[in-house]
Amino acid sequence: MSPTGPMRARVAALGASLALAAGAFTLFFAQRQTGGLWVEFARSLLILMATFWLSWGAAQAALGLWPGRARPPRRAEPQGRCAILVPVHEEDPRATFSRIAAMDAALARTPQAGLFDFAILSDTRSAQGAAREAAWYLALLRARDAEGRIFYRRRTSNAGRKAGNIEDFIKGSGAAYEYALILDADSLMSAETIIEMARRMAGEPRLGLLQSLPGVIRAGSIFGRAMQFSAALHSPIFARGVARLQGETGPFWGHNAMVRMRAFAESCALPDLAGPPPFGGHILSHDYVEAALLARAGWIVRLDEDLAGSYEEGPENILAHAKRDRRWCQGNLQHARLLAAPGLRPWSRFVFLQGILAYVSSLFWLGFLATTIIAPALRVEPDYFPLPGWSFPVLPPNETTRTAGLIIGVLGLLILPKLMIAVQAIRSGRAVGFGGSVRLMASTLAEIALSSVTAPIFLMFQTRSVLQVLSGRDGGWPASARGEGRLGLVESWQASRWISVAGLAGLAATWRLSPELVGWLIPVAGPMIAAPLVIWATSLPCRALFAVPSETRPDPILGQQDEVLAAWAPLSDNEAAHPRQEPQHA
Amino acid sequence: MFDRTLSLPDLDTARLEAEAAERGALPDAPLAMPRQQLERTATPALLARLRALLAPRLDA
Repeated sequence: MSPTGPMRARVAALGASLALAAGAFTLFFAQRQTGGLWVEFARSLLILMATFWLSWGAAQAALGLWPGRARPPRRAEPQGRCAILVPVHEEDPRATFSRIAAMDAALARTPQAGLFDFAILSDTRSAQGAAREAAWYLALLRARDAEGRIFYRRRTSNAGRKAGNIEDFIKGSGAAYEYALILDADSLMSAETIIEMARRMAGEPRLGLLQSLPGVIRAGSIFGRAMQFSAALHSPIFARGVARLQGETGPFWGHNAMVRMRAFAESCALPDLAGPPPFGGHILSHDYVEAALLARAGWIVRLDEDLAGSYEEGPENILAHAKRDRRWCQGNLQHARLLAAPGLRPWSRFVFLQGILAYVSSLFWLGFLATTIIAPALRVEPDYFPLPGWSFPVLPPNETTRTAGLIIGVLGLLILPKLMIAVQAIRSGRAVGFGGSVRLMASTLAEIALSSVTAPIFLMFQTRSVLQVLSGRDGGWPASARGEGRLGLVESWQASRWISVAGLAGLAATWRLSPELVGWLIPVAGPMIAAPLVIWATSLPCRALFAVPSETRPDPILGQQDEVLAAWAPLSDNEAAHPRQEPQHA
Repeated sequence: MFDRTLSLPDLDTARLEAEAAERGALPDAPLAMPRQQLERTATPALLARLRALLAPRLDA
């Protein structure tokens, strides 16, 4: 059977995940200790939920690795015009506009050049940020001779944040365009990919949104490069799994996606939710909701993971990642309000639930660890002969055996998919882009080691985020942290000392209540105690490992952006605004 | 990548922003975007129907 149909893929993935989760529950509850029944039940329930979430991720990888190709997409020459939207909010305009200049130059060399305009949609509030944007916008216009083709607008009100920014554009200018390519400030796409997306939109009139899979580029730190490597190696496989699961009710990740303007306009004006943030007010994770609304209106929302030439930049250190994750956490938990929204497709509701689980699962793991430490303390003296007349002793279950079983299971679900993806890359020839088979395997093992060390730290950050949101704290709208992410030891210590304290407290409690588990807890408590060191060390530069295709065989669009940056590097903001007078040519 | 804290001491920022706004003006092509409903609300019509259904029984 080839699980190409979304329904078959869903049944297979859900069935496998539920079976594994039930197996973990049975392992723990059937072998429960004598005494503390409620703690044992709670622990088994927590492991059921946590295992389901891990298995669900592994099932997506398995679906992505399943052989078989999707039908080639329908294509046609695009007739209508396309606006390339670049929403910005307190970004570095030189870096952001250099990407626009590179994409504009690449598009200008194609026969479809006349179909594309750029619109920089600014929500920047600071006076200096606004002035810098204006200065560099004028430099961009001069560099690309682009007046009437690259637009710039700064809003006086930030109503609706990014979603409201795009909505304002559509309300004022949307009728001039058939399509909109929605980017982030750090997005970069090749002209070929942009045109190919427009062709696919033109070839399928029911297609409301086409999402590409952005690869991470330009990472320089150990953490950033590990993320970049994982995005390049693992994400295409996971994305293929997601595409097979979601079918025509696909995802929208907020950027590097093309929408049909009229479909988006008639379906995606988001209301504010009743009540105050974090659960009310503006919808933070608007992209998931917009995808659900397009599907509700009958439009196809599709992820085409085969579209290469789509890029973004990622966080360069753990703190920047945690900051972004705090925003995503609030947005995903807010979706609890929308689970019963009228008219949504069942799969859209499931996607909301999945996004909520992605963060709540941290509580499951932490609860499981806490109950595991407590459970032995509630143990009563075992009855070796519980059955009257039965002369053979019934031995109590061994805690160490269960813990070992759990660790093997968790590692299998987390690590096996990554190893299988590495093997597939070697067999398919994809490894060449990662520096060859040996370098690919070395990078894979290093990424597994690094993600094992950072996982307990992220567990703590995510748990804090969830608890903050549940206690009603709004994270606001901070600017994205981009660029070099090297951290100092003091900064790392200040941001994560509470994790060290929690790790030490957990280890001390284990020593006091369940000393036989201390050894098993070290892989979790150790990185927590060392969190400041881990955060600092992983922000340091790295070149030796984690080679990716965007470095070994770089897309020309990256070189084009480098050229723009090199040309602009000597310019100060003042010079960007007031160019030196150049000699007039006859 | 670049220092964000560069000062702009001699720039007439208002003039600069006005020029950027003028030269960057978006096309004037409005498109309606109706607000979507995402939360279930008991509509007045539904309440009116309920009242109509219950009123004769309550009066009896």
